[in-house]
Amino acid sequence: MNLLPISDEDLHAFIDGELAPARAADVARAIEHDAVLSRRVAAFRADKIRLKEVYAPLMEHPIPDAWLRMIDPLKLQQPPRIDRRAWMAMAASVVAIAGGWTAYRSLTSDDDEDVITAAIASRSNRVGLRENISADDAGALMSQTLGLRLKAPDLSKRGFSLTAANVYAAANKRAVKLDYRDVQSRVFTLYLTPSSGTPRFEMLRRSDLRICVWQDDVLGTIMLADVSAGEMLRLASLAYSGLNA
Amino acid sequence: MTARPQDSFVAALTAQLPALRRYARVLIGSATEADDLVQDCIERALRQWTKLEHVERIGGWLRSIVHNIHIDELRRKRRQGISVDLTTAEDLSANMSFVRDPAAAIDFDRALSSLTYEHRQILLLVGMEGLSYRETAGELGVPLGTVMSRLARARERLRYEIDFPPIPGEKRES
Repeated sequence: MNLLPISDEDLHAFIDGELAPARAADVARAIEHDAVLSRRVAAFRADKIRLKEVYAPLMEHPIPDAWLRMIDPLKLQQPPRIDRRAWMAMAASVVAIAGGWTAYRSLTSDDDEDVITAAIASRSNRVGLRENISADDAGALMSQTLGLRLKAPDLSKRGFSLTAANVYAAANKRAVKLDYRDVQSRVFTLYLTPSSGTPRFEMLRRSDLRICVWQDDVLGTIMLADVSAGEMLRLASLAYSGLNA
Repeated sequence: MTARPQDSFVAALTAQLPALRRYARVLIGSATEADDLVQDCIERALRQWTKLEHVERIGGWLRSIVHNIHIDELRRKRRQGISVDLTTAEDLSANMSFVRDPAAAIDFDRALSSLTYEHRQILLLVGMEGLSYRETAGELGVPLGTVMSRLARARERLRYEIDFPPIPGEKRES
């Protein structure tokens, strides 16, 4: 066998699967015939695995609420151009807004709390539950109930599959609930309602449940599961972005 | 329903936070400094979000912001005559109780912390963030060949530090 010398760069590119197939085959043959080289490759591979393992727990640390509060889509909107008259009108409105704010805030908080309570209750409510529903049928149910073009998000990237759906249509309180389940039988619930109008992103914890409230100006989304904060953020992001039909 | 650009950005930014925080903590070594850095990064990202053309590239964009803020901070400290120690792994060891072999994990963390910033950075991008060589080259703004040689040297150095840990009191050059 007559091989080109194997550089350190080649060896590491081989470990990372970055070598062209022909050259990778050369390196594999060389490793097979050289015990020292074989041990080096095994050690580098072990280091690569250890790098991931050692720092994996850091992904599970809860994200500070202060950071999540900073990330408000409303603050991202481009500031509108405001002329002088508009400034004066705004100044005149400040007193009225300040006076009404407390009452408004408590009202929306109560409404939001009601929705969260309903979402938690929906996890154990089996009346009308449609099990083994397809994603297409669930999407149709969501669109029909909420009057928006929606689809059931695909959460398979995070190991969760759609298992059931339910519709709640009590007096002016339309909602759709989707349940997803992973191999450990953990349930991720996606509870959708029309927006109460106040954009909001919040992470909460109620006993064993992690709750993510994500509301834009048209849709209120409550996500619930017994998962870490990091996992909830990843699931919530995937679910929210996957709602677009 | 169509997600507005700012909603997509917020979703992507929020989803990146756990990985960004881990990257900063391992790269900087200090949890407190890393958290300050990530918070500054979030603030800067929120101010400059319209500059991100492709939201799917947000991971690299955020890491670049972290890197730039960190470098600015180091320059500021040096100008002020403050000595800068990049190797303080003050509280990473607190996480080691969760891994299978905590003692080996602490040794590994010590070895990684002893490397240069550049070496740690490339090891993290390829080994922890899972970037390809081409993606790494793009993120660091260096040729592919530089990525390969720097990565090879970083891994060799890491292995040396694991195989031959310094004796107490010994000072080594990175």
